[in-house]
Amino acid sequence: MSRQTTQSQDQLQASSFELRDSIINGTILKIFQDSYFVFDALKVLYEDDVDSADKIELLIVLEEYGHHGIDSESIDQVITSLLDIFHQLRGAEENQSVCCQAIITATSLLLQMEQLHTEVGKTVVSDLVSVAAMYTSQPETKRLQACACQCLIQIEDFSPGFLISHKAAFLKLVQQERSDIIQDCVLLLAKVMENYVILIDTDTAPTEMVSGRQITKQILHQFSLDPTELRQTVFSVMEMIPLLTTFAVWKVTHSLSRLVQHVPEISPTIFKPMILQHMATIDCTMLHRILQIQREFEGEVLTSPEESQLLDHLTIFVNHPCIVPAIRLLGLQWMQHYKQSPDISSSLPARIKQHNSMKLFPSVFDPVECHLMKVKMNSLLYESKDMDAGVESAVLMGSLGYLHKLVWHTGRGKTAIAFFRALFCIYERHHSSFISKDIQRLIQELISEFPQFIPHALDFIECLRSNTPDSSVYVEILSQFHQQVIIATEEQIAYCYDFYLQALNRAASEKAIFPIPTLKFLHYLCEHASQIADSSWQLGHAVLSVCRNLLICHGTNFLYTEMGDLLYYIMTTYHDVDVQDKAKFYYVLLTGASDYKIKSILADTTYGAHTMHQAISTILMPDTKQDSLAQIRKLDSCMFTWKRSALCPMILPPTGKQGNTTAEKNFNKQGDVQSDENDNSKEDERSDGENGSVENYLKYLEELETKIEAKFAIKLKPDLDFKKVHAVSIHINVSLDFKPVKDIHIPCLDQSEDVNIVVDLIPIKPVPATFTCSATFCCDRKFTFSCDLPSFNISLLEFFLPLPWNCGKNLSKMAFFNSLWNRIVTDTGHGIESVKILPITRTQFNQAAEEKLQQCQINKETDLPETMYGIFLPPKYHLLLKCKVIDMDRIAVSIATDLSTILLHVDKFLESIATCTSDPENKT
Amino acid sequence: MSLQALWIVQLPSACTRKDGRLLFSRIYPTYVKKEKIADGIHYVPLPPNPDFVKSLFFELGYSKEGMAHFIAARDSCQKETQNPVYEIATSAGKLWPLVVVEQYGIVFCCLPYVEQGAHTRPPLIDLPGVTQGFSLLCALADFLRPVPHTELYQKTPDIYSFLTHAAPFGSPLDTNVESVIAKMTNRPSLVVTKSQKQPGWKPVIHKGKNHIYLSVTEYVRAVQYDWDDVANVCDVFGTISCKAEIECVMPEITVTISHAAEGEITPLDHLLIHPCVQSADTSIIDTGAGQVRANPRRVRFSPPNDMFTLCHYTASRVQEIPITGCFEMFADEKKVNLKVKLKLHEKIKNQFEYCELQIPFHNRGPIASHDSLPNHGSMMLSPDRKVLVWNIGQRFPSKTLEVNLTATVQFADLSKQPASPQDDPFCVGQNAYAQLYFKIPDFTHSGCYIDPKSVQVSPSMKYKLMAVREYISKEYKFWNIQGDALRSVIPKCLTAPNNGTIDSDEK
Repeated sequence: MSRQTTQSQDQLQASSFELRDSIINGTILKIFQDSYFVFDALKVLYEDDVDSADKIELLIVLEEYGHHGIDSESIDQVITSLLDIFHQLRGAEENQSVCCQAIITATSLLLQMEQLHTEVGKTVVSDLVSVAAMYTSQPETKRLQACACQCLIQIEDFSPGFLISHKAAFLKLVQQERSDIIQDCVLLLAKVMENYVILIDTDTAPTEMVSGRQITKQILHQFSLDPTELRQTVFSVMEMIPLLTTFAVWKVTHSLSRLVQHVPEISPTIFKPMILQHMATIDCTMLHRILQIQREFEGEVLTSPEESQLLDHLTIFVNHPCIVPAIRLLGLQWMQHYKQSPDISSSLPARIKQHNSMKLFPSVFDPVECHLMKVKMNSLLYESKDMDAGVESAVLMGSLGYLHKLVWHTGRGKTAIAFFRALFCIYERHHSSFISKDIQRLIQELISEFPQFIPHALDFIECLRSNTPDSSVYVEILSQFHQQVIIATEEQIAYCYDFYLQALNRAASEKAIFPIPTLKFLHYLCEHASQIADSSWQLGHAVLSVCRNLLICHGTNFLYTEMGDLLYYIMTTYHDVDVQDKAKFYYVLLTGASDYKIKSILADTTYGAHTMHQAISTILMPDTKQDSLAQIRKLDSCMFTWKRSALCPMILPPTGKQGNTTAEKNFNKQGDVQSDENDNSKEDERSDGENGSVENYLKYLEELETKIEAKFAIKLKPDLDFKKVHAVSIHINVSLDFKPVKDIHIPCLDQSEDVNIVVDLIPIKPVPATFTCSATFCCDRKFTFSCDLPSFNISLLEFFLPLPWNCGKNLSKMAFFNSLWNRIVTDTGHGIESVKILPITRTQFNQAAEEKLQQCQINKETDLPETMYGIFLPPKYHLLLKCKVIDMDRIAVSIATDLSTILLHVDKFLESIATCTSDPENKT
Repeated sequence: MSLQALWIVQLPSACTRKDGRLLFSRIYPTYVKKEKIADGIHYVPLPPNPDFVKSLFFELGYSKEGMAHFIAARDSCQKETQNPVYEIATSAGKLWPLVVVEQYGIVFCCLPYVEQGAHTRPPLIDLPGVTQGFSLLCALADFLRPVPHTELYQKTPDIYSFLTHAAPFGSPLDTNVESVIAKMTNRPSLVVTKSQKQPGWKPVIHKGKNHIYLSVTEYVRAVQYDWDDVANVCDVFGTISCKAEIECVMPEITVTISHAAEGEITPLDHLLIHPCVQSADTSIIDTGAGQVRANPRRVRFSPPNDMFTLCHYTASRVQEIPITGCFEMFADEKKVNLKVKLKLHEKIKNQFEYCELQIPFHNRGPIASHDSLPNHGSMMLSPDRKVLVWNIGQRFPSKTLEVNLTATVQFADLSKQPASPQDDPFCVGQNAYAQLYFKIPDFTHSGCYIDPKSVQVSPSMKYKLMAVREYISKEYKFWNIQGDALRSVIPKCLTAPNNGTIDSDEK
């Protein structure tokens, strides 16, 4: 062989592997999109130096996928080329296999592209007939002859009557052929005969064959057979049966049975000897065919005792230990549908019921699939009305014993599926109370031991409901599940919460099931979500799914408090933003929408939620090894620059509504009265009035709104992996002395951006505090991260505000200050008075006070012996100071406050003034 | 009765952690076209091969999710079980009826053409394609059995060739592997005489000396509990195989299945016969018929060339279990103490080719040590040290016909061993069984044998005859009397003789 030839073969070998790979990878159609590929392939087929196996493979690929790359204009060219290749190669013995595949491919393409009635089609048929009908004793050409017969069978099958003109040739072939290809010839003859008789007898040829049939009709009359000749042909074909494989027997008897149906002169009893001979066959194809013939000609072929015998053999066949289980399963299905009643699933043949019923009881040696099938058959043996009698019920429930024990001890998925299907088979047909109680007990026991079977059990009861909508069993079993879930131990919940939630989800949609225990269970789950499931998105949404069903089914009145508590808990504490958001949405619905509105909103999403449950909860399993996108990853270092830029305590301007409150009016009114406060004659009254003024002032404070406005700047640190982050959520942890702060959300933050944020801190008590902060954010890879931000402090000084009054006269201020002092130190139980001596001069004190306390100074006159400072500490507390010089270089500071707990901080504050003023460096 | 397509798929391997993959596919476009016409708008096209494999694995439970989680679309109670027929979900709809045969890590599957339209979901009795497709897949599996999985891909041309001859145009015609191989290799056959036609199932006619080999292989399977309330179960059944190498196109052989004067001399309940059988006494003995004589059964057949199963039978009237026994085991986490007692029935021939009791220890670590005291035979461990093997030898003690074993077995830590897929999940704690393997040559429990004198061949010729028989155990279990056991017991109330039932569970 030349070097060039070797290279060519190598290339083809490589391309043969490529073709094989592209078939496996599903990319073969792309190759055929190239319109030249088919012709390139044909060129290769012409080459002599290409291996036969490669040629055959290429021809098969053309047969399978060629029609994707061949259009109607080039099909005749392709088929002609294939015929040409066939004619070139058929002379050589070693090329017989390639020749066979060439005519198979040509025939297949001809039929696929509907070219049978074209010139090229006729050429193909003519060539095939000449090959099939040639009489030769050369064994090496027999395979080609058989192949031609098979091609012609396909053609006749696609276009009935097309080969009728060759009937005589085929008949002669059958008579003369002696080799094993006789069965191919018999099959061809039987097919042609079948179609001939049907076309003569009926007028129902397929529409697409009309043009062909018109020709056929003319030919039919030319080649008509008289009934005697037809009968002789049929008998001669039947005589060939022993020479045929069981598959060929099937095809021939199929053709003949159709023929018999159209020719009354030929009795179906022609099949009887064959049936009686093979009734006890071990061959599934033969047995199947016998059953089919018996069904087709019921009462016409076998007598009743013979039919009973056939069914007895079928029973033996489906039980025989030597028959493989898959074939036994097929046999059981034939038995199930043997009876041709309108409701084919309703019953088994009487012979089976009366004589072979116990032979269908599952055996300990049967595999699981056979057990299931036999349970099904057992359920078909009995009528529903017999079920309360006891014996039949005992048999049915007894037939489950093996499967039940297997599930109980193994807890395996496939066995469990078979067990629940077996239960369903029984219950579907026999939903008596007797059976029902037994089934309920079995399921109850099973899921209490194996909660992983809750989804199976839920599916079971759902199927029951769809089959018997009026039955109360659904609710009864569901109630049992519900009861079982709500009394589960902590350990059980930790392991099986996802199954329990599925049960609760279903129970939540049942009005008859009391919902409060469900909510308590959900609350427990949420409280322990971090330990149970790391506060997963899945758990959160499963809980909310139950909430949704409860809201839809039970409305809001009944569950308002418990549901509200639960949703509030989730929206404030659950560690998943998406879950929080959804909980918030439900919370808003619960608190703000009518039941009707809630139903209309949530019911619309039921279908979507259900599919989501199917699609995500079941596909993304809890134990999946893939990283969960919902999981928040904690970063060790801070990704942001987080600075507090300003802090400003403030009293909020009264709203219109607030301005009209009684307290404010009284306080302002009192202020007006104080315009006459210099009138000494009214001193006592004034004193009373001052007391009254303080009381009103304190009432006013009760309604006063204050806040400390904190301004921050946040920026993404440079030189990080994150160039841009999304959904930044900043959380500020506050002490108990402040109201909780809402999380701050920033949609997007990139490295070039500096975002300013204003946070309102609402104090409950004016106590200095340190605030820790954290941020959660998403990166471009869709993972969620969290990191700590630098903490920030609030000192006592940063709470200081002047007293919130609106009378403008100093004396009045003094008087009010004194009244307030007296009120604090005497009247209230919480007030406290103290004195602090500062070792500084008056000048030094004044300098420091000017910087820190100026806005709170009551008396501006410098000649007075005491300087007074009235400090309002939001939201409603006071710090009153009286500063007096003693011994020239010391200041005595008298302190009064209505919040004793800040005294320590006041002391520190005053100390800081002393230190600051005495140390010039600190001062600067 | 034809196929639209056929696939061979390698399953994912738990051991080697290799993903499953498609090894071979064959589409028969003419029947795809016919199905398209039959189904009309309901037609579901064949998915691309990768999608097909994915859907198949999902349906069979070999996807990554496995069977551990309930998936309603696959596992619902309402989904009709039609094994070996499956329905797989594709993006274009449900593909049905997919016939699946699973063997040694390979899935062979095919999609038959449904003349009525697949969407009408006709019962399987109306679908010849399913039965024929199943037979073709089994034949293909047999054909490829000697080929290692790694070489299947390279065997693609051979598979194509096999299918072309076994099922031209996807329509099964001959599934006898030997016969198909003869056609594939185009082995020349004898030129037949004018008076005879060569059968389609016999493409090659033997040339040479004439031999007839007939073998009766009788099996016994039993489950023994040794509990008062549960009866032991024992089935005796058999197969008669034949290989006839005769230089004749269609010779006729007649044999008589008789009963020797040993064993229990039990009548055969029936015969299930090979399609080559021309006539046979296949009558069924009614189990409620009382005492029945063990009459000989005559079978006349025209054999194919290769070894084939002439017939199957059962012998449910066998009264005695051949080897009775008791298996008692006390187990804790690291150690088990066990006692076994076996007794051979006096009617059973005490001459074994082998007799071996295997005690597998499932869901435990390998055996670290064992202290066994058999009163007869010897002890050994399986190579993986998971099975304690008691080799009883060729004979039971002739005086007592009884053997005993006591043993203490210590186990290594299970956590150091990977879980084995061979472990029976049922066998945990005290749940355990011992399995007996034995073979007695030249013996059958039922007494059935082929009488060499009865063999007749037509046309008359010289031939060498060999008729053998053997008795072999198959699934012969003794459950631990201290544990639980799998059983399926017919309620006693229904096993009265008048019910016409086989009293198999109540012997």
